Amino acid sequence: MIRETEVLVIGTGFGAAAPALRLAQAGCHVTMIEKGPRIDPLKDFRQTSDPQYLLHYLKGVSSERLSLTFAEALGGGSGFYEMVSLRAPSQVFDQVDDAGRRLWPAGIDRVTLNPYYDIAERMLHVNQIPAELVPKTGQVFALMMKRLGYSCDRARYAERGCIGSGFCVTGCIYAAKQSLLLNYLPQAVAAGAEIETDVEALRIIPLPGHRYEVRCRRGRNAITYRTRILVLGGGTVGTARLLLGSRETMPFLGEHVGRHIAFNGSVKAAAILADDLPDGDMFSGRTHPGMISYEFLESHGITISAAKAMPLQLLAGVRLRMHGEARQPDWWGASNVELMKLYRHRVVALYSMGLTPPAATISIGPGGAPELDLQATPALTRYYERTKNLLHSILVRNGCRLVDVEFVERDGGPREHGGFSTAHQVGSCRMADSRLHGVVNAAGEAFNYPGLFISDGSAIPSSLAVNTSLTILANAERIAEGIVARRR
Amino acid sequence: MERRAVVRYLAVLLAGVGTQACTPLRILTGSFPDEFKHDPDIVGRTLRAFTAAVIPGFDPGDTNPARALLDHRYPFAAYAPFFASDLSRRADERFAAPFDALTLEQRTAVIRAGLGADDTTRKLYRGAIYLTQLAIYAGIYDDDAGCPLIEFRGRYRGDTVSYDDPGVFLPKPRTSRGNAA
Repeated sequence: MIRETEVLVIGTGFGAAAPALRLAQAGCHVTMIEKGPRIDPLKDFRQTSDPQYLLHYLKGVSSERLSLTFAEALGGGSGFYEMVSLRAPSQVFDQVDDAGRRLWPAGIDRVTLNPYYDIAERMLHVNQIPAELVPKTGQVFALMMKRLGYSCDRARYAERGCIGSGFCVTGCIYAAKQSLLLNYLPQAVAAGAEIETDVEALRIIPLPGHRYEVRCRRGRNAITYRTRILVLGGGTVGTARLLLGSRETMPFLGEHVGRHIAFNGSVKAAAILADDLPDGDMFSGRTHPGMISYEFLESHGITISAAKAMPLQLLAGVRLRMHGEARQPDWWGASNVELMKLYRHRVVALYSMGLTPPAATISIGPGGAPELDLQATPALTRYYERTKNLLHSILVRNGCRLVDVEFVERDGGPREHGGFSTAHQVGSCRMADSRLHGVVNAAGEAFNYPGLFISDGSAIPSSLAVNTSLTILANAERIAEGIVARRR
Repeated sequence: MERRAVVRYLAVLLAGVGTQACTPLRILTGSFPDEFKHDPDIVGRTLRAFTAAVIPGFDPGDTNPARALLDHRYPFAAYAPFFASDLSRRADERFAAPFDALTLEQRTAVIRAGLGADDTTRKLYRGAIYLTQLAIYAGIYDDDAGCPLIEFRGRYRGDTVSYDDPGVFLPKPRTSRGNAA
């Protein structure tokens, strides 16, 4: 079966939704295809700890030192993210590579993105959390920073009428979280776009006349789309995987596909609160606890927040054990129960995001599965230790007792190399000033492949030190504006 | 055993075969006592005793705390009978009693011995603990029950989100609207 469309958008997440909407509004015949299932935001989300529910939508790829989580569902990650919507700090755009070359293409910085951030914020109803709605965990974190003389800011969220039920990451059953399911996607459909779910793009084949054929499958059925404008918005992992799988038919893609993945330098630390600090609450209030500190942005290139996790999210990723105690058997048994009893009210976790270099790589392994690699470099090790020490220092100077956070493999075993885990991966098909350094130009158009655009996180060339969704969306708005302007 | 099944087992157990062939081969060939293959009661009793040692003090009420270990949506279920038999064997060798008849300290010692055994056995024990903790602390089978032991109440119940008087907590911000410059 071959389907013709003027614009084919692969993906339905933050990078895909803006081009689909803007091109549909401009009168194009737009088709969006999504690998994951359809979601009705008013019916399908659950407040649950059922792993089977989450595994239906959330996927991962991991290596010894890095784990990435992403969603495969209508709306991409927007249905399951923490709804934190922050602009990337100006210094993000000044990052350079080892040769001193700016990572971002010339002409793209915070100032040029600001108008697109404005659009994205309006679309998602982004607002700063009122002081009286900051969850207890965020309040306690803010108090700890205050005691040390540090600043802390109320964060910004894509929400309307959030009651703080605490299940942001399983999908908001109140439709308070402004996922793309409530704005971009229905507006795109209203403008004439078609959305097809459960369709996986497998290979891109360039056709004469700068047209593209995309071979897909839905279940056992093969579907082929032909299009004049192809927009890749399947995310950092999905887009890289598709292009790597298209190497034979797209020999001029260059060497950068799948490389230069930045992961926002996530480092976590935890402790038992000092007796003179009030209780936090891991299980109530929005998942992101409301506060972010930019205190160490200039000095360390990091932001710091508190972190919350429901039991499932906690235990699926880490083991907690009291710092300095014997290694066996306190990750289970009586001593672990004592720690878990403290978890809801007396455990505080800090989470930093930072400007780590784009150092990870995705390749396609035997059988077609993506394989991730992050080499340990002295600089990365120094960053990890320095950041962890800073987080520990904040905790200890507040009188807290450290808790060891040990990351676990899928079989429950400890990860020998510790490492980073994040959902903020960007950059596998990065923008650059020339094909010598990236996959697409500043307009998001692939070098050597006119009419093929990449507008998702894979095009973002650096870590952001804050949650990535708003920047991905703003950049996608910018790229969409360019495509629409060129079409006229 | 069908060839496909053999290949699947071998793939899963490959890591263990290289270091200590005993356990994987016993799983592969079904070389463990028949009662654990055919008597769900003894498997269930043993696994419940195991969960009570992993999370002492947890009151399962009417529910089966070992349900996740027997749930075929998770890979562990395929190994549950062997795992129960291994607990039983170690209990018998060490304390001359069934695993479910041991004290908490004795059961802890048996589990610790399993964790210190060959790679495959260690993975089996570690996976069982991991799945037990996930299932019980997160209350994966009942969204309403949660886990009272850690005050996790499952679904949202209208908990108070914030302390009054936020000014006590919040330091001076760096920005006017929450975005860094």
